[in-house]
Amino acid sequence: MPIEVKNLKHIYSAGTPFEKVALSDISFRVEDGEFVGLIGHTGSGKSTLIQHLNGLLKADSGEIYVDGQNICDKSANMKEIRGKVGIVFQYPEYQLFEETVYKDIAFGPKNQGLSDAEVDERVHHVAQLVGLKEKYLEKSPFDLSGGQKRRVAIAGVLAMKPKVLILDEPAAGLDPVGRDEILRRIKDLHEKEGITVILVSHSMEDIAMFAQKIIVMSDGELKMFDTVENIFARSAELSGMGLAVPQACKVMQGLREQGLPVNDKIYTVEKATEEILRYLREVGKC
Amino acid sequence: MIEIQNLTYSYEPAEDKVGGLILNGINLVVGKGEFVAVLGRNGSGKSTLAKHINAILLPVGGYVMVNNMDTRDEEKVWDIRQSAAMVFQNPDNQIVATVVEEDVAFAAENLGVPSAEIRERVDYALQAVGMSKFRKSAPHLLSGGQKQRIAIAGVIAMKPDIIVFDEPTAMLDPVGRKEVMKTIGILNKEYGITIVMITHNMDEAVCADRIVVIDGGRIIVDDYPRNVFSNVDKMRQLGLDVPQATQIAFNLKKAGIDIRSDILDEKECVEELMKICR
Repeated sequence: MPIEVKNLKHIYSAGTPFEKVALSDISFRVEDGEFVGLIGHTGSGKSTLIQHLNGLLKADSGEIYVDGQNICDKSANMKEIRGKVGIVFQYPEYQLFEETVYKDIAFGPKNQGLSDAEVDERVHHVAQLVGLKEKYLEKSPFDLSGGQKRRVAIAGVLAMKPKVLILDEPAAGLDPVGRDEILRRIKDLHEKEGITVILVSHSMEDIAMFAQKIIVMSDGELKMFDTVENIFARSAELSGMGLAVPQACKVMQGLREQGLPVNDKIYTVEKATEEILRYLREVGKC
Repeated sequence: MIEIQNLTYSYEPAEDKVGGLILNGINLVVGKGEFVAVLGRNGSGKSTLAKHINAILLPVGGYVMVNNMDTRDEEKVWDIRQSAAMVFQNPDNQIVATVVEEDVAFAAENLGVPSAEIRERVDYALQAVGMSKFRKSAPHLLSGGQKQRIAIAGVIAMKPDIIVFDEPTAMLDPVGRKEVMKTIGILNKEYGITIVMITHNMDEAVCADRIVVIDGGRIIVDDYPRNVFSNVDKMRQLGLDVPQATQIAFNLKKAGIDIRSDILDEKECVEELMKICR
C-alpha cells in the first residue's frame, strides 16, 4: 500500500505569537512493501510528519494519499485509515492501560468492530509475532519488564492488521540484545507479512542494518530521500544537519582520507571487515 | 563519595517470582570526582542500583553511604537527595512547570536557594545544556530531546556533588547526545561532580574513567574502558555491545591480522590500520 505525500505543510499554533512552521512543503512517495528509515535532528519534524500519515494531525495544506485515497479530504473514513496505518509511538509502554495483556492487545481490533472470535485469533497471532508467551496474556501489563511491555504495545497496534507500520524509536532504552530482537521481529514482519515499514530512529547503525531507503529531515524540510548507500555517502552534509553516519562508515571514510583505495560506500561492520581484508590481501599484508 | 557494601535488594514478592534478588551482594566504591559508566542488559539491576544512591530504594541487606550519610537514616534523606541528584530516562515524567526556566528552577526553589542565586543557577544550567534561547518556551512544545536537556538542567541547578544519570541520551539525536556528553564531561572534569551514568550506548561508555558491568544483580566487571571493550566475546556473552570500530578490529584480528584489540573509536582504528599498511 503506497503512501504519497504532496506539498505537505503544518504550522503549530498558527495565528499566535508561538507560531512555528513544523513542516514546509514535504513531498515523497513510499512504495508498497518498502522499509524506510526516517532520520533527523530533534525538532526536525519527524514526529509531526508521521502523525499526519494516519490523520492524527491535520495538514494546513497539501495532500496525503494512503492507498490512493486522499486522507486530507473531509469525506475520508479516518477509522479505516487508522486501521491501515498503525503508529507505535516513543515509549509505547506508557500507553498500556488494561487489566490484562490480552485485553490491552484486543482493544484496537474490538473497536474496529470485529467479532470476539476474530479478536481472539488476532490477539494470539500477534502475541506470537512479537514473541510474547501465552502465559503472559492473562497477566497485568504493569507486572512485565520494560522490554515485554513494549512488545505488548507493539502487538496492540499489529492486532489492527495495519498495512503500514510506523515506529518512532522502537528500540530506545532497550539493551543491545533487546534492541536487536525487536528490530529483527520488525524486519520479519516486513518480509513475511509484506508490511510497509517506516522506522524513525537516531541510531544510524540500526537504520543501516534494516532500512532500504532513508528520508532525512531537517528544520521541517525533507532534505534527502534516497537509498541507504547514497545517503551515507553524503556524510559531510549529514553532520551539517546534526546527524552522523555509522562508525563503520567513519572508519572506511577515514581510511580513504588517508589515501587508501578502499570502497567507502560501506555502512556495516561485516562489510567493512570484508573490504579491509580484501585490501590487505591485495597489497600482500596478510 | 559513594560507598556500597554487600547490598542486596528484592522487590515485593510477586506470585510467580522467578529471580528472587534483584541485587545480590553489590560492593562498589565511587570516589569523589570519578566518572563511572554502568552497563548491563535490561533487568540486570542497573536502575535498581542507581535508585539506591539517592535513597529512592533502601537496602534489604547491606548498606549504601553517600558522603558518609547512611541512606537508611530517615533524617538524612533530604541531604542525601541534594548531594546525589538523579536524571531518569523519560523527560516527560520529570517536567513539572509550564515555562522552561520555571521548570529548571523547581528543584533549587525547593531547596530554599535565595531567588537571586536561583536566577544565576538557572541561567548557568540552561547554558550548560544549550537551551538558553528556549528559557521562555513551554516544555510541552519542545521535542523529546530538548525536554531531556531541560530535565538535566533542573538537576544541574541543584548543584549536587553527585549526579546519577539513567540513560540520559536515549532519546537524543547525535548532536544532542554529543552536547549532553560534553556537558557531563565538563561537570565532571571542571566542577568535580561525581558521575554515575547508566547507558546502553557503548560509544558513550568509552568516555567514562571506569566501567562497571552488572549481570544478575552482581558486579561482573569493574575496569578501565580499554580493558573492558577489548574483551569482545565476554561483552557479547553479557548481552552487551562494543563500539563498531572495536568490533572491526576484533574481526580483523580473528582473521589473522596483527592489530591491537583494545581500539575504542574510529580514529584509533584508522591509525592502527595505517600503521599496518605502511
